[in-house]
Amino acid sequence: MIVGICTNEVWTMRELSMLFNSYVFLFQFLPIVFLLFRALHRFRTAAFLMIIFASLYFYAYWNSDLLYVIISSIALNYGLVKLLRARPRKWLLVIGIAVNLGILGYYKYAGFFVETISDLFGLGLNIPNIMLPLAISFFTFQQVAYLVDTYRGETEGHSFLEYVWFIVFFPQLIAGPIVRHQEMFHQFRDKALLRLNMENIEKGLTIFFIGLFKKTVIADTLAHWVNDGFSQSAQLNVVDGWITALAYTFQLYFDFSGYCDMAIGLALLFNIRLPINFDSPYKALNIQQFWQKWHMTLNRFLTHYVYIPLGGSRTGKKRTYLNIMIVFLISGLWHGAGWTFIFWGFLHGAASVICRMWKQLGLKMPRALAWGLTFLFVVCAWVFFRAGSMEEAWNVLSAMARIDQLTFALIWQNKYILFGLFLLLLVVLFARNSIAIMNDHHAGWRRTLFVASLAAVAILHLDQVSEFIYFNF
Amino acid sequence: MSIYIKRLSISLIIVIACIMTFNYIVDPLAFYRLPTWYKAQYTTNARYQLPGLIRNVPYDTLIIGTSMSRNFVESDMNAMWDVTSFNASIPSGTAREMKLAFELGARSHPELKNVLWELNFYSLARPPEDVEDEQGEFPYYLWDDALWNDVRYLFSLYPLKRAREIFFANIRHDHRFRDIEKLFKFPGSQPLTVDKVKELINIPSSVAKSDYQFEIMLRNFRTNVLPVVREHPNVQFYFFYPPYGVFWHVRAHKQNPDYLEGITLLKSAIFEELAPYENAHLYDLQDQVEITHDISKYIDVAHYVPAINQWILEYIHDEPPLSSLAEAAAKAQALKEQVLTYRLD
Repeated sequence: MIVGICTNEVWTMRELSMLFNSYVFLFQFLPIVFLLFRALHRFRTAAFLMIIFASLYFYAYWNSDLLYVIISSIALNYGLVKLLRARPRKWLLVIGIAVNLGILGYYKYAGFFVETISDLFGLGLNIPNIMLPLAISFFTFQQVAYLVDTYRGETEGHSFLEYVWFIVFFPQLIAGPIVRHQEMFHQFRDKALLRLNMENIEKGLTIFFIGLFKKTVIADTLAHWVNDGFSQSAQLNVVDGWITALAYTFQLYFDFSGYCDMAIGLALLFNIRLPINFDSPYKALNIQQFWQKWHMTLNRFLTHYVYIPLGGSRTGKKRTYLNIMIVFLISGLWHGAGWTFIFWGFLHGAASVICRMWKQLGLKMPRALAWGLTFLFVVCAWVFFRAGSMEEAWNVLSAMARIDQLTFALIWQNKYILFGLFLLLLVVLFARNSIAIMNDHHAGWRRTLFVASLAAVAILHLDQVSEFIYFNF
Repeated sequence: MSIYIKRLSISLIIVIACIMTFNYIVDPLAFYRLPTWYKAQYTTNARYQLPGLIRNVPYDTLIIGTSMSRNFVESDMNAMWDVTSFNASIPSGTAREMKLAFELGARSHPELKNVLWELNFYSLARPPEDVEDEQGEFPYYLWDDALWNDVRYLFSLYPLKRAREIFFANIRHDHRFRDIEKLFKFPGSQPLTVDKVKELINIPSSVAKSDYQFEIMLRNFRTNVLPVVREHPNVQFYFFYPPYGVFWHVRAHKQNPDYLEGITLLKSAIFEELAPYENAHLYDLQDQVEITHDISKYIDVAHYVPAINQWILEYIHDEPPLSSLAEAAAKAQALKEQVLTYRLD
């Protein structure tokens, strides 16, 4: 993917990247950082500094030009934290949040904003081409949450080094999970942090290799069908349309949950437990359940820092529905600066409101039907999430709706991919998820051979280095 | 070390060893040996397939070049030159890639006698260490003799995918891509028309102002070509400038006014660089108007029809090489004038 154009040179993500699924990360960066961490186990400050510098190196490997953004953001926010700790003044918190959102807005939304205004009023404005600093959505949200918690007096005694580790820790820096200080700082202070913990290493390796397999083998394989489908959206028949939408549904899940598995595994190598981000979301029986299982840390953030401050469900039905809709519109905009993302957020907001009404009316639905409706809705909504434009999304959805085209011959033509998608559906519905496998930890030969096979096949796929989908957000 | 880590490590070693053994035995890219126990199907992915073929196909004459040389037919050359040849041309090959191809051939075939080497400005115009890696990583590990990095081949998905293709090709009785001689050849397809040339001549090519600089091309020649000639006095090198259609030069000149001067200077410089070596023979075919001005002999602004490859083989076999700096300069000057006076009608 092209991430920026510098004069005549086109820099590709492959050239700039140190992805978890790259040789340079797996066979150089990670072993060196792990060994240094072990070597510094008697020197707490040195170990902290090493992790911080390693994380910044990891970050800058992508694009050192924008390293100053994250460093300035950390310095600014820590300064605000100090002021808020000294005197928790609301106006200072508001300024802090506004500055953070302003920076995020400039880098992520300025182009979209100017384009929208220009289109709306026919102004023909030049659209600013601003390079997006990697992970800005993640480190901004995390720091905004920390500011709010500091204002509430919940972060006393955290040191600068702990704060920087909290923000830049490389396993979760790029694409989350979005962590809260309550679940991190006590780990930094635990005397066991620097000790060798074999169980953590074993569990970490297990879930890391599962994640690597999900990303490199499943998600990247599905990407071919997804890319083909969306790039030729106007020519899709009904089966192509369903293949495109379902392939993306599984690609996104295996990609993002695979990334989070790797993040959790990597953090465990350094004796840090990250919160889980996925809990078999495609098993959900309604849309509220889906959001309790999908990108759980984002959902948690939006609940704590947007939904509840807006009044949550305490201010009457209509206001509750409005609050839900606001949360999902923000979620859509957070995922990407574009109308397709906003519409995706709107769809989920509307579905969540309907789900809430349904529950309040005390209505019931057979489990199979509830699952089917929820899954169908999620699949259709993902089409907007992935499409480059509303037109592209409608093309795919229209193709899916052309049931009259459906023939046995058409299905037979696509039997392998359809069978593959069916198998993946069985996996997401009936297989134990990676967190459950990690927690059921034992050293049986079948287990180690299973993990080793996943690792070997995943490493085989490293040749096809590709970016993680969530890195765009 | 815990039991888990021990067992995981042993399991990993077993799985990796199984995959490597499979790739070594099947050897889908013919890297270690030409297949004997199954019907091979080769890939046209030249940078991955050619190293094995360069190592394992028997020959005493090597053809090195870009796609402009792909249509040299080995059996034709064998009959005409009385040699055993192998065509190791690499589409869009850079000078560094050509050097790698030659060195691999020379190491694996001590009996190597002749090299037919296409001197292409495209190949020379990039920095000397450049390889073509925009479409994917260049597999250096296939082009050297180091054993340790064979792991990149043996423990790699690509040979496994090739093995699958070969397996299914045998099941389906698909006999394409089995004949090495026909593997990389491309047919003449539709010859060019005047209208098409008029259209193509205005499409920007890779000839930008920064490209095709005399200094870069000469440095590249000195880095990748000249040392090879010097280090292999027993090998006869037949260098030639491929006869691009004159319109190719016209387009390059339109996009970069320094282009013509650069290649004119380069041709004289290369002659002087090669002159001390008796094993180097240089041919300039770019001023041959009966070829370069005949649109029907081209399939695009650069590539000629396969018959021209046959003509080149005959020409180099029958005609003497450039014999003096004055002759080299005169031919370069002739091309320059042809380009400046060319009218498309």
